[in-house]
Amino acid sequence: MSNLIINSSIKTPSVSFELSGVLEISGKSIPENSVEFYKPVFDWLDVYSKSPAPDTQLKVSLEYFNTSSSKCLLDIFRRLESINGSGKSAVRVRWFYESDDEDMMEAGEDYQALVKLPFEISAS
Amino acid sequence: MSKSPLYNLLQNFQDENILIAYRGEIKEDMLEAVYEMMSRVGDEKKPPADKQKKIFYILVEALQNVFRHQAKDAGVINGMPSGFMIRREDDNAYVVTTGNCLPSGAVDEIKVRINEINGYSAEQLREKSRQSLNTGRISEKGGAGLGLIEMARKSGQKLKFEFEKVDDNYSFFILEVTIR
Repeated sequence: MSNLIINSSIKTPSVSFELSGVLEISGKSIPENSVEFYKPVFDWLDVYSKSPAPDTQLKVSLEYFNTSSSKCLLDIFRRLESINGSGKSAVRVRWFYESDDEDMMEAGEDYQALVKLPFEISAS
Repeated sequence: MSKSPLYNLLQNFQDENILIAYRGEIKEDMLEAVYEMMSRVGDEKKPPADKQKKIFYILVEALQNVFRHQAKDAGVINGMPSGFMIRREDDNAYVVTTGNCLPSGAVDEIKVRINEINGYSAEQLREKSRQSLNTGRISEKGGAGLGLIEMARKSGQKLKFEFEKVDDNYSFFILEVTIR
């Protein structure tokens, strides 16, 4: 299995998921059907979960995302929760929002409330 | 009144402070052109920077809803295609309006849903949004069932709607979201 690198497009974010455990999603996420876009990400995580790096860190810095993506993001966090729960890797999430963007800060807080992982929210 | 329909239309745009208007089926590849259009609205009419993101976000959600739910029957598409508009209302508000035909059978459910959402306080909206996010699933069309609630939440205003009967089977659904 190799690293997952997806370049950004006008509607989709850039994704960089490395076997070293350094994971990043950034940009804009507004595809009409987000499941199609995020499927390779889910598949990669499923394989990664079998032998993850000792530390896994997901950095999320999105300018905006549609509701379809919001569900996929939660699904990503749920997979990370399982990996964390398995004891094979210490997982944490770092959520970044543009400093004047209250909506994105609130979105981070929503996920923080729903997701059982160390979840840091910072202005960028 | 000029003889030119275009002149009259443009005059109407001016009078009503319409920034963008579009008539036609909302197609997947069209959404990219819309995003481009949004970024090209003239400086004198452009919303302030802090509002632009919100307006754009709401437009995306509203159009993606139309894309998923607009009736595809040729008779309907030709007779009463989808459309959307953004206009400025007084100094502070921007109004995003979308319209699309849908089966008349869907009307009551939508009315109930929107009235329910409009009844929530900001805190309740946030709570409901979290609940729906947590328990919902993505439909075959790619929707997460969160669009209306997120539009209400992000705009901080009540959603306005109207239904116009098109024929025995279809109604035209107009959704208006105001961003202050």
